[in-house]
Amino acid sequence: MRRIRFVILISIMAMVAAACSAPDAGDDTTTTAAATATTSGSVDATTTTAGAAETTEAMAEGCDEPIRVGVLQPLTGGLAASGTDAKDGFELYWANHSTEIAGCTVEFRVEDTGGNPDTALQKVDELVQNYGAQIIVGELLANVTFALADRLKDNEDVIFMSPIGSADDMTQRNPFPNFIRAGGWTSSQTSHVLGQWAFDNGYTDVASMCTDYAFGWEMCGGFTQVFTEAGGTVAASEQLWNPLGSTDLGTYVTQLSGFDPDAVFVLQVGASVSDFFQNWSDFGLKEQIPILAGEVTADVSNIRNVPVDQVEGLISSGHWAEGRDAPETQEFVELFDAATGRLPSYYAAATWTAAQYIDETIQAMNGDLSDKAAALETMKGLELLTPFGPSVLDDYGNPIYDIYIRQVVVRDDGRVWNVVIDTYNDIDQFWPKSADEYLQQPVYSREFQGNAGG
Amino acid sequence: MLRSLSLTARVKLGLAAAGIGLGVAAPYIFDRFVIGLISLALIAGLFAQSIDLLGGYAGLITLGHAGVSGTAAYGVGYMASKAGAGFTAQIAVGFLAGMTAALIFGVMAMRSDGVYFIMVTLAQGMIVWGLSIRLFRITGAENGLTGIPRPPAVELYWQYYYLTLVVVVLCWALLGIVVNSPFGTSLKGLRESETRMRMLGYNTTGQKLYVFLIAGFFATVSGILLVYLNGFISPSTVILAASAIGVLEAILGGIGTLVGPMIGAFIIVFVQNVVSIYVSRWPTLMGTLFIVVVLFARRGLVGAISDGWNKWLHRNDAPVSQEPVLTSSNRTAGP
Repeated sequence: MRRIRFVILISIMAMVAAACSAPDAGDDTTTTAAATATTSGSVDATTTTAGAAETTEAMAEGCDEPIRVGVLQPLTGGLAASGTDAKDGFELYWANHSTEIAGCTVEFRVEDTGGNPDTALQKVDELVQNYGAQIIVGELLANVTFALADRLKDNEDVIFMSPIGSADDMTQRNPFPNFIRAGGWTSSQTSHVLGQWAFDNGYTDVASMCTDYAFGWEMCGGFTQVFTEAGGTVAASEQLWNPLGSTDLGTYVTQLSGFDPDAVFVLQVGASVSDFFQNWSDFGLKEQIPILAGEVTADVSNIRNVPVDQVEGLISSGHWAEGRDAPETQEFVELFDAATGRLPSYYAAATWTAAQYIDETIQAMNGDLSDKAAALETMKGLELLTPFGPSVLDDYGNPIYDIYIRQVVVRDDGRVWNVVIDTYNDIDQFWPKSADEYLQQPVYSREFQGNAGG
Repeated sequence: MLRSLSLTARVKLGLAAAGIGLGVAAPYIFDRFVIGLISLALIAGLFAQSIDLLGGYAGLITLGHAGVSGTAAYGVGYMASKAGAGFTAQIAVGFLAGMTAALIFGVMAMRSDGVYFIMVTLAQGMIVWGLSIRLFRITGAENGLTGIPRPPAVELYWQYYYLTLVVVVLCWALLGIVVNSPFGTSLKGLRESETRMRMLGYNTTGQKLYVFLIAGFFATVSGILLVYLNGFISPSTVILAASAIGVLEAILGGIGTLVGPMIGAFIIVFVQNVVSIYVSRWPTLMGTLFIVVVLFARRGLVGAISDGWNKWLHRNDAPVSQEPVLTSSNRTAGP
């Protein structure tokens, strides 16, 4: 019996540990989910806002059945805080826009995957077959998104949207016919731009420290390739890879200072983010070596857990900048802040934008989504002004955005956010190469970083 | 013939018949979602049973068993997705990969016991996970492997469900033969006292390797069934939590029985996938369930049910003065 109790203890500890180090796309582990967990797991959006009383147009054909949208996010486990942001963003959109579009009602249900592909595959069956979802809005983990895309690829009655899961190959070398990344991004799309910016701003010798898994490889590779092809140097021996979920990064940080680089490209996720910044300031490096951060590392969901003085002034690149001074961004930021008391992370902006794409597509299709191929084409043809800024989709279903060089600034209320210091317009996932040229090369990995210096 | 059996045996027989009957009829009763869940639960149950063969019968609790089933699943996934091989080759490579992992792990672990066995197997599971996120040419790293279709004969969900049902019931029967054989009895001896077994002349090291290989075989089968069910494999299948869930399923249902792990698997799969639709705090619910079972039903749900049944059977007997002593013979109840 004692042994069994020991095993239970170990198992529970293991699951907690596994949940905390859950991979990909940055999880903010310290934000309490309690504040937002009051909403139940499944919500039917039947609330229509006053004021947005959009009357059914006479020309609209109307719908026999509501248009149903299924949302799958991790609402429990280590990614619960990020998943809850995503859920809140999606719900917030429909709380502020009419669910009556072109004579049709939009309904949605949010389901919890726990970040587990097995569960996500069961839930998506349930949503498609029993709930009758015509649109699935996907998960934030790369592997769950791949699992869902593979399950849905032969289903011609469903559109699969992935506003968060950012694995490069989903819209590059391993595309799925009914998959669209409206509101989303590819991992290397934003770090390409940072590579160019770093070179343009006089950095010539950069070291890197990225998390050792697919997302880290893609972020780091995007920076390394563009930066070295522009003329900069990233020595392969100065690219450090720390294991996923590691929380004592002191040894890596001392190695970095030994390289004496002009700057360091950093991509950390989850609990490693605050540990990195803690070490970076403890070793007194903040004033000596500038950091160029990957998007998720500087996302508000991560930096709001870090002492202000450790991140103030941090440079990063991203498709999302909550401090961007534009009405379409600030309107959303204020709504989200008022509703949840948090500044919105890119997870929230992404699902809001996905909802916006759904709304506009239904309007453009006049409520008739029966032809999913036509609906997909319509969605790809939309030109929207989203909280991210102007958004159009390329032939592969990935957005072409303005990518921002961002800097962390302290707001008047003491919270930190990312403001825009430079903008690169109309950046697609292949920039600065053409699609044909870019797709010749393999996807970024630890072995292939696209390093022009070899 | 039926009359010659005891009431308990007849009830067990009846339940087994009802279970198989329900299993066969299920696709006519339930929709696709529920059938998918039952398939998943059957596979998880087989996995938990193979853990229980090690943990419950031989006293060798493993926290790395998903490494074995996951290696088999990756074998299939690699051949289907990257090598583009036929189904025979896929399954053959899956088996070979799973059994090779079981052999290597068995040889590594066979000289340890108790907590040390747990730590060795834990490390083995972590090695497989570490490789799965690093060897991206074989495993697709974090993205996993997609594009693993089922063989055409079992392509539809209900066809695959029947295949799963048949394979799991067959494996269950095989496991029953193993645990009721002299070898199975010697495993219980190993659990109770390895020193005494060695004194009696048993080669306990060899015994551990054999039982690891047998358990590895059933884990391999469950891994291959799982990868075709999902059409997908990623590091989530081989993380520590996947191994731990298997152990918890066995403990929840009743360790040292074969029906227990299956019941535990059904409960956990349904809480994860169905209860979570209605209860957003379902992990709390599951945690509470574990605590209640460990506190009040030490031998799992099956143990609690069989205790209750025995109490009911003997309700009219003269009260026995002393409490039944927990010995090795009554610690393992059920089939």
